[in-house]
Amino acid sequence: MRECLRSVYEVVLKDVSVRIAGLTGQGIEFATEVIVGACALKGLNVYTFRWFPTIVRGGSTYSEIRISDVEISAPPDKIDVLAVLDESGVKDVDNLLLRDSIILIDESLSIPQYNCRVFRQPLKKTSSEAKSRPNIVVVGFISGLLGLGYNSVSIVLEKISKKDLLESNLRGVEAGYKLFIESGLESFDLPSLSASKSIVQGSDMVALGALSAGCKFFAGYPITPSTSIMEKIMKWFPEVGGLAVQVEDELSAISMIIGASYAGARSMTATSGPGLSLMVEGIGFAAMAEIPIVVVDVQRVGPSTGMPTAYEQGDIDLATHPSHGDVPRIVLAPSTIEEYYSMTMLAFELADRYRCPVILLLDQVYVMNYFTLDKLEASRTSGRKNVSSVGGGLLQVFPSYSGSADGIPSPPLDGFLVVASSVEHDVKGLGTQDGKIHVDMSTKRLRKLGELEESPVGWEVLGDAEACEAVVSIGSCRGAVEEALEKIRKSSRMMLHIPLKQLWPLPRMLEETLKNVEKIYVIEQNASGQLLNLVSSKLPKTAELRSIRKFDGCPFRPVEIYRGLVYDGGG
Amino acid sequence: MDVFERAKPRWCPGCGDFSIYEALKNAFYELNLKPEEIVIVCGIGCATFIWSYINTNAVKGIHGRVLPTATGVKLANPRLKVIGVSGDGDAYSIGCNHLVHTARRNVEITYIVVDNGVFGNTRGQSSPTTPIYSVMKNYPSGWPEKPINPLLLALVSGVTFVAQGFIGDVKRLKEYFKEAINHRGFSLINILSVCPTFNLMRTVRELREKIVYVEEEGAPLEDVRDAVNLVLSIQREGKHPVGVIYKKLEPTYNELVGAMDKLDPAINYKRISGISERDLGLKIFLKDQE
Repeated sequence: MRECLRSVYEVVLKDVSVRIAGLTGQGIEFATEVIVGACALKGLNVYTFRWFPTIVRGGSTYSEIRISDVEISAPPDKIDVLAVLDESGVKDVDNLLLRDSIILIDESLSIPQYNCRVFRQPLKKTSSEAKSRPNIVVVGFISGLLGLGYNSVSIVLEKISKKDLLESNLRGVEAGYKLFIESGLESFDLPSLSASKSIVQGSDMVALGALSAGCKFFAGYPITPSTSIMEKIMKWFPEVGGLAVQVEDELSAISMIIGASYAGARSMTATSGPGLSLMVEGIGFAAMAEIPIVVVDVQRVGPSTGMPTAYEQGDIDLATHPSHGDVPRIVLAPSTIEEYYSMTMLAFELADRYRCPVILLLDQVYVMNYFTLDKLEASRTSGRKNVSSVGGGLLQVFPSYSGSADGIPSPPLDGFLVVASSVEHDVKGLGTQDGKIHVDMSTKRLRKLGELEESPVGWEVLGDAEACEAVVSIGSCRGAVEEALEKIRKSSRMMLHIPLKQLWPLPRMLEETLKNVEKIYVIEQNASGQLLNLVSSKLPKTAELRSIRKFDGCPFRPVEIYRGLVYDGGG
Repeated sequence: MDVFERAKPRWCPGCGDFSIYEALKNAFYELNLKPEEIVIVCGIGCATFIWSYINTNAVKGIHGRVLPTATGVKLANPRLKVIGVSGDGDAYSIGCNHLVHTARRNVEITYIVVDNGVFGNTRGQSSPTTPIYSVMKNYPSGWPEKPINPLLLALVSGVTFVAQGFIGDVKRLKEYFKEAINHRGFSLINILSVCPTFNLMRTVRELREKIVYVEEEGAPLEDVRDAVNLVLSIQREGKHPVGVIYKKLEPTYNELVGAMDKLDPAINYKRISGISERDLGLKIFLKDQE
């Protein structure tokens, strides 16, 4: 296996990975930000992943930074540099350290022996002499080792340091850099590419997407890992005339966005698994009353409180079946960081067109970590009239719920009263217990998504369309799958890859595209194979199904998927 | 034609909800409001059927979520008069949490709670305002819980307009509604009502005997402590305070955060791209940019 890996990395010009391990409170996130920032200044591509516990201080944590001069969207298969601030942060590295890998560790710490190059350095002593902090000294050492240059690092430090810490941070970096020079280690000498890149998190993309879609109302309740979306929206909304409210619970959040959307504002909430569980009754209400809303769910490890800070794709079942009764709903799972922006915008368009809840199913790894990006492309949106059509002049109730032949309801016009009801209702929204009307209205509500079933959004087929083997993946698995497939193709094994983004309604094309395929691998990050269960009804009966799953809280590494595909799937 | 009449109201004979229907409709008339200027947000329970009978904009929501839903409506379109209607179960049981927090926000909503001390729509179970030891369908040997005190709860939570109405006095009830609708802030009117079908322990006659009109005691008061004392002193004698008990002007949520509809509804891509460039160093391009 090691041999295979090596051959891949020879192809890539530069692909260097760093892990910084220690305790929460030791400034590992800050160190990550500085290194990522310096890489972005040099125009390099970065993928980061952070493991951290719920305790704010003193829990073991690590951060992985993969740097490359080509675009990357998966965690690394190897660690070139492991910097250790506390030994408890060193875990699960056995398969990642190569013989050439460097372990940088404070002289006072001890870790088990690994078959690689260990450098004991006076990190703590140096930092106290420089009146700085060990994490900053590590940044200095690593930036020397990677060849990021003192200049880039100090530019980043000036931008993100707290004012009163800037001097001490600069001293720390300098001292760390000196340690690197004295160590006699050879630099990785990362190149400088043309234009510098921007550093973004998925939460930035979602918030910007909401802004760009003309979302004017947000209500939410803090919950890891979705809180940063709320914070960014709260920061930016006042500048674009939006209103964001932190409310008492998720029941309130979902109800409030329903009220605001009824009154005319494009509205959204963001939550995570436990919050989504609380919101399901409201989602059913929005579906019944045909009020457009966008619900963002950043998945975390469940069930129940689970592992709140870790990554899993375990909400597929809940998101696709979110409430009692026959509920029209749309579920989207973007698969790239750019799609976190474009699909957020799209979610608002779809919610308005089909007048139903749209759930954006997101991954913790993309929302919370740092990535590099050149630019974003927005498609122009019609937005929605900011002020409601509620408040017109005529006394009739508008027949909002009549719909055309395809069941798609017409938006209320000015000058009518508007009634929205959780109770089964006639075309005007007025309550009824008439079984016949219920049959008509239910049929109409479900029929309206037929259009999306036929022409799904975000449909993509990657790889060789004639292949007799296929992979269906979800969300952020895409990057690791693509990297694994690149290697598989080298052995002349043809595979096509569908990163499935419209989870509900399931695209009819799924069956059509895969009808000649003999073997299908479904790749996802949960224990029970929720994606497999969801899509299996739409997969050709003749194909052999294989499931590759991972659920230890960390994202798939490409090699893990490669192994799954070579050794023919897991459970 | 009666512009506020959507359908003939149907409740059990003798139900308190008829009085509320009359009083609310007449309050709208006397305030010269038009149906399109009003949104009635209803929860679940017999009283909430009012949305089917009064002709205005309406949201018939889910159980317990009247206040957050109404808050969303008001924040998105502050020009609307937003009226919430709940029963005691909707407001003080399943939705009680929202009452406390809506009070803190002082959103301009008129909240009407029809308090008949029983879950009537589900046919006769005890509610948070059912007196202790009451013999109920679900507690044949007596309800072992103390009732909630809606007026005190509202006062200490910071509701800026607290009133109690009585279904046996529709004229005064209408006046409370008018005053509440005109109040700049969150108003709560708890209405002493009856359920002649499922709560035979409470009758209009018995309630009438116990009423004390607080206007005779110097209300509405502007000091919470005085208001709490007034309520307590009347209740200690086994009586019910009726009238506007407390009223105070404080900044509303809309006033504090700025109204959304004053701002440009068009999507300002330039500004959004500016935000992105400033905070992330990231340019946003419009695909179909001319």
